[in-house]
Amino acid sequence: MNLKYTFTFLLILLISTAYTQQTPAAAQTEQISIVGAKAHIGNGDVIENAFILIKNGKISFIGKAEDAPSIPDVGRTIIANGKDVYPGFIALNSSLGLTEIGAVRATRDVDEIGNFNPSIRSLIAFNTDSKVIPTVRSNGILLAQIVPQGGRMPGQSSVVQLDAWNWEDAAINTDEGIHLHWPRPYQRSGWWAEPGGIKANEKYKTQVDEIKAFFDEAKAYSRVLPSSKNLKFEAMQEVFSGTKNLYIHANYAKSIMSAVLFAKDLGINPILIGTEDCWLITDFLKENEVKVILGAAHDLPNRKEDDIDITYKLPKILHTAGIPFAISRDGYYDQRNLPFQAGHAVGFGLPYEAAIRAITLNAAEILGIENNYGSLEEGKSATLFICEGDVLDMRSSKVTHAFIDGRKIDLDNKQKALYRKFTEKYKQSKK
Amino acid sequence: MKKPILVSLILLLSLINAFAQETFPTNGILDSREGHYVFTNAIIHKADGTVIKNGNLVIKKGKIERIGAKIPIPKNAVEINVEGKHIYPSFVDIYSNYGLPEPKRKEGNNRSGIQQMVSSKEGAYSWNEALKSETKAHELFKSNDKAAKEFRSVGFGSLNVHLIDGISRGSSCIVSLGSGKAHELILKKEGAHHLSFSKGTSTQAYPGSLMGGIALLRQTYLDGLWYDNHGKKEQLNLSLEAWNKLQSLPQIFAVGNKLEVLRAEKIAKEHGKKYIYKSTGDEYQRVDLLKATNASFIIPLNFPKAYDLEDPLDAQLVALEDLKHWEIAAKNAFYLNEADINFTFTTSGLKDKSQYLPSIRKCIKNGLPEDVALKAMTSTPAKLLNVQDQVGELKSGLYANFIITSDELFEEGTKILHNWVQGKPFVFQALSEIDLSGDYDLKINKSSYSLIISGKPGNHEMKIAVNDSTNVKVKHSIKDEILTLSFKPHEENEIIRLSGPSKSLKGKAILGDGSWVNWSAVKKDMSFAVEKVQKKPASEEEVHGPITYPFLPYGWTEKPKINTFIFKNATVWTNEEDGILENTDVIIKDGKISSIGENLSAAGAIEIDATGKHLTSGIIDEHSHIAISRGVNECTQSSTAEVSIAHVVNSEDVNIYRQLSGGVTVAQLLHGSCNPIGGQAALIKLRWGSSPEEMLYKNADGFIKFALGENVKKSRSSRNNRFPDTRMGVEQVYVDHFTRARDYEKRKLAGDKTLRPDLEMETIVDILNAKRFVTCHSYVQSEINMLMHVADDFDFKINTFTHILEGYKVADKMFDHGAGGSSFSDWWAYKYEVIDAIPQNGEIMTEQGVTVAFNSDDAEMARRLNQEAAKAVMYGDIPEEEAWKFVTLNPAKLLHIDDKVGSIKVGKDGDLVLWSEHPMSVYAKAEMTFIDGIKYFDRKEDLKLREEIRKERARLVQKTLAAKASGASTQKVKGKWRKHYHCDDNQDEMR
Repeated sequence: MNLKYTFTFLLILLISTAYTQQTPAAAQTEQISIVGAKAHIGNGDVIENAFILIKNGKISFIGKAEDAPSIPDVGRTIIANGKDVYPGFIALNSSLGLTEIGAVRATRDVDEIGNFNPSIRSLIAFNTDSKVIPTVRSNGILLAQIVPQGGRMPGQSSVVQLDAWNWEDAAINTDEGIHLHWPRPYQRSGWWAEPGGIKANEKYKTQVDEIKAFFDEAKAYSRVLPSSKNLKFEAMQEVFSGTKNLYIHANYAKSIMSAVLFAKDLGINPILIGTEDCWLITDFLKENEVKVILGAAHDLPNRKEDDIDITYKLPKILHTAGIPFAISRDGYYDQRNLPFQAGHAVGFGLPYEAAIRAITLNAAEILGIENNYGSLEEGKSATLFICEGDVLDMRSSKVTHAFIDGRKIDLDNKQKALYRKFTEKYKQSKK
Repeated sequence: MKKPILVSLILLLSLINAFAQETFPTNGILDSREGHYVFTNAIIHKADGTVIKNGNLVIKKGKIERIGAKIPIPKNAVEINVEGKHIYPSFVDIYSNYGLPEPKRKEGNNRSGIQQMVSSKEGAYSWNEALKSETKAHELFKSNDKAAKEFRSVGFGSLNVHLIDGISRGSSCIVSLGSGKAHELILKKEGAHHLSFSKGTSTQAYPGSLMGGIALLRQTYLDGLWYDNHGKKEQLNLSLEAWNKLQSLPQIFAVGNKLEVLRAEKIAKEHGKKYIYKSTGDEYQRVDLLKATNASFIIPLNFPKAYDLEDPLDAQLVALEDLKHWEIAAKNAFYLNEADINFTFTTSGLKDKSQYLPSIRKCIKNGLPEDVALKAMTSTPAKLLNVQDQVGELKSGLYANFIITSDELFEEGTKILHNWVQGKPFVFQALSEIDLSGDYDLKINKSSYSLIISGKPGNHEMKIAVNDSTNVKVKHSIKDEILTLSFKPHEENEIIRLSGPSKSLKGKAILGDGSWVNWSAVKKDMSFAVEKVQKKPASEEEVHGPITYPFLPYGWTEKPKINTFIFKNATVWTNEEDGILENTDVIIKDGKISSIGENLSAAGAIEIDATGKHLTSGIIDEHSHIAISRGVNECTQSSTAEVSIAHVVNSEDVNIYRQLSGGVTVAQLLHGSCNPIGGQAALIKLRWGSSPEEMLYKNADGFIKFALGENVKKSRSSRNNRFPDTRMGVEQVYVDHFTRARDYEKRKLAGDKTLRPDLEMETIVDILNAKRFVTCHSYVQSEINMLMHVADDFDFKINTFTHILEGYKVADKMFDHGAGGSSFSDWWAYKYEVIDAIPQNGEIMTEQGVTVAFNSDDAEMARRLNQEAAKAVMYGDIPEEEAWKFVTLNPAKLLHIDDKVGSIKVGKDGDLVLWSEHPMSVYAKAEMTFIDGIKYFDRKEDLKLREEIRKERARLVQKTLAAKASGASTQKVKGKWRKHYHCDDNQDEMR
């Protein structure tokens, strides 16, 4: 115990000031070698006893230690025998930096007024100084997709790295996609206390037609030179040209199918988000080559009679069906549980490396950043972390080092600081 | 006048008021009649089951004078020969609002956040607007011809009517469906006292939950007694005065489902009452429990239509239990009768009252004996309301309320021809109508047609056979014995119309060209003519799917049994000094852990190979909101210590089963965090399939929820008028209530007879005297500190701080006070008061000696509390064995049940979980979960259940589709909301 307190005391001295400023790390100057770890590449492969060389923010070598160039004696060497290295995890469909305290309206910048807001950009509201972000980062989540919410089309998401001075240097892929929330084919009637049950949504067709009209007009807008500019339609053009993703949020089998068919008709390959009921239509998803971002698995089944573990085993179902998917959970502070959600899926049948892939390379591919992120491959950004224990299992996960673009990230956070502060309190009162 | 006359003629007289009110002046010449009739040669069916063939029925002055087989025909009576016809007592419905105004809710009183604290009704009435005991149906009653006609045509003669509004709805009255003045239509001024679990039009906030409604009723019984003994000397309370008078009447209680019967029954037992339940048609789902109440039931007949399931995706909205209910609903009465439960039927809930008789016929097809059905429609309701000397039977002295039917009542196609009410006839069809069915040779002028008449009198169908395969429809009517026909013999022809007496079947016809000609019809051959309707319709001996307990997917078809189990070669987490034992055997027998050791054996035990697996005691969730009916918060006052979750345990929440799959065996169901002094908690074992009462943990200490901070300040509402609005006010709520409770106790101990028994104060006195224990929702250190000081001042302990996210800041103070902490592993940042929450909270509190638990407060997370415990290891460096206690032994200690559960020790309850691997690994799954030595969950069995659910659903879908294909009318698909509660859910659930 005493030893522990001494250690803690030293830590306070060393880190407490550093924490309060959450200072982003400087660009990599010296090369870094990670030696002896088990490397989870992100694409499903594993390299035991790996050697990773990081130079100028990039992975300049990754391979078996025995194939490695002789260990350089310059720079920093991290001996990581018995540890694991993973590509930085990617939090999809998150509101990190847009919401600081959920119940305090002043700290919510996630839901704009209006139904069709494709020109809204989340990136410029992304708060790099959020106290939440470092707590998420400490669990290996190094990149995130920042997604606006609310209405039919809440706006555009961007991909950021989670150690930045401001949103400009956070941005990895700016305004990479537009989000569309497909109407629910079913609606609740009555009100909360007097539920009338869930029935067919009588406005469903009207709502779908409204979307179709919007997309049709937005597409037509590109063909002629408009007399006056329409910012909403302008924002849509890259969706039609295929340089921006179209993310469609849909949960019921019916809405998923109509959403996909709608997009395909317009020549768009959509990415689905949510898809609670996708287990019903795996063949359809496969035929249409749709990519899927699964929503939070830590959720109750929709129907009382559904398999009690349906939300836990969806990843396994998609994996078996050969449908490319990523695992996500919505929200902000809870993003730090993303690895455990993937781990939970492993408990329900998903192969381990597929679970890693679902929060790394698959996510990067969806976001269009796979050339630089999402896996441990030569030439890619050195955005990765080292874990003592199994990062997907809270029983043993301890992230010890993390790097974004080769920059060594501060793994401290507000909560650790408070921990130290109050450990000090009890130490004082013991005297 | 002995000669039988045509009844249709006397009907013209029926408008005359035969027994006019004597106090009313006569405008004209007095026409006083005795209404003296005798019905001869009838088949008389009495409610008691006796049938008099060739019976006579004499009525006079609106009452039955004599009835029997060989009764002389009185000289002054009008004789009506009803040979071949049947007479039954008119029906009685004792749950109706006929003749009463539609209650309306005042609008505009419900701005967000603003609560109406007391009744808005002016006058010396109850503080609570939902207690409308002063309502008197007989003062509000106005007969309504249109509605009365609807009831009469179905066969009703009298109703018990009440104003459907409020928790106490005042008195009903028994009314006749005849025509006339209210003076003679009201048969009995006070029929019953009506109660319910619904506030109706009350705009007052309290009660906002079912448990609040229950508390209000319990308190009102006490208030009634107090008012009678003492209160009336100090004040006038018209509601309580009326309430007290109502107690001598039959008590009819309207409930929302079968479990609410059990909830109301607890109130009845406590206060020596006997309720008659107006229930909802789901009684068959727990007939054993309802039988045990020994109560009578008023059951509806609104059987659901089949769902339209042709769209397979939309079809998924419909819950399995709704499909099952569709299949079994009409069998409800049969099951009640099999269980020897007394019941009557009501039209309440039927959209179309004409479905009353067809629905009862459906019950009979489903096995309900006819005599029981008849009683349930007539004498049973009369007896329930003590008016059997007035209505519900054919007996001299009773009102002449009876129906005349064309055939036996329960046969398909039988028609009600007359309904006599208070000796006055209401005719739907003439008694003398001739059966015209047969094949006729119809001659019109020189043409001859083959006329085929089928069906029964009043329901004839007619057609002209053109040739073997072609028929022409004939429109017809018979009015006042004149038959009228019109038809088009051939496509090219014009329409022929004809009319003439239905007896002689001849007269004049008019052809398309306008010329009048003669017509006549002659029956061809009698032997072909009568198409006898099959006497008894083929019995629909329908099989239906199993009735499961609970009536949900994953319910049991048979109650699980207690067994002796031996776990071989397990890694056993004892939570005791022995720590974790490898390769160890554990035996559970008679519901308890009987031995732990190596190489054990037990005769007759079921052996479970636990090699490579981990055996732990069951997970205990200190803070849960599953399995609660209609409201987790009674949010309407700053103290609601009188309410209790134990009164509203919902044994039919599928989350019970889902949590068993996460290894949870015990859960404390807490009131929400809406008020500083919330409601009492319920501690349950997750005995899936049991009744609410059976789920309660036996002989456990009682707990109550307190709450601090944002929720009790109602920080999320844009406006709040309920004290307190600041943390400063929260302290005062406590000091004030504890002070009042001490004063109350003083008066009580001094034997003050004027003291009004107060359920709220009783509960708070228990808290102060350490007979009930506090678990307090709490976040920031200032308020935690405050509450401990207040408790110290009043000399009691806060047992547990729940959530306690800043516990790490005051852990030493908590330890000194003696409070435990039941926290989240890692929740934070969702509201302002949790911005300093840290996942090392559990560690610091543990270091300071506080007993620490992790809880769920969430129906989903409760399924993986084992993982939450592991987070204490990850963030807090707690040794695994200690972290495991966060979700097992420590909550058991906080709940004072660690002598029975929470560890694996000989003599403790057989509440065990077998894990596929290290229980704190994210990869671990609970493979089996045991409670009291009964296996409630088995992952392999679960797979079989899924298969059974799939098959049962498929079968029901096919049956539904077939019903639709064969012409059954259907309803659109409709699902249910997924509903589970959190701390801060506070919507009004008493509407």
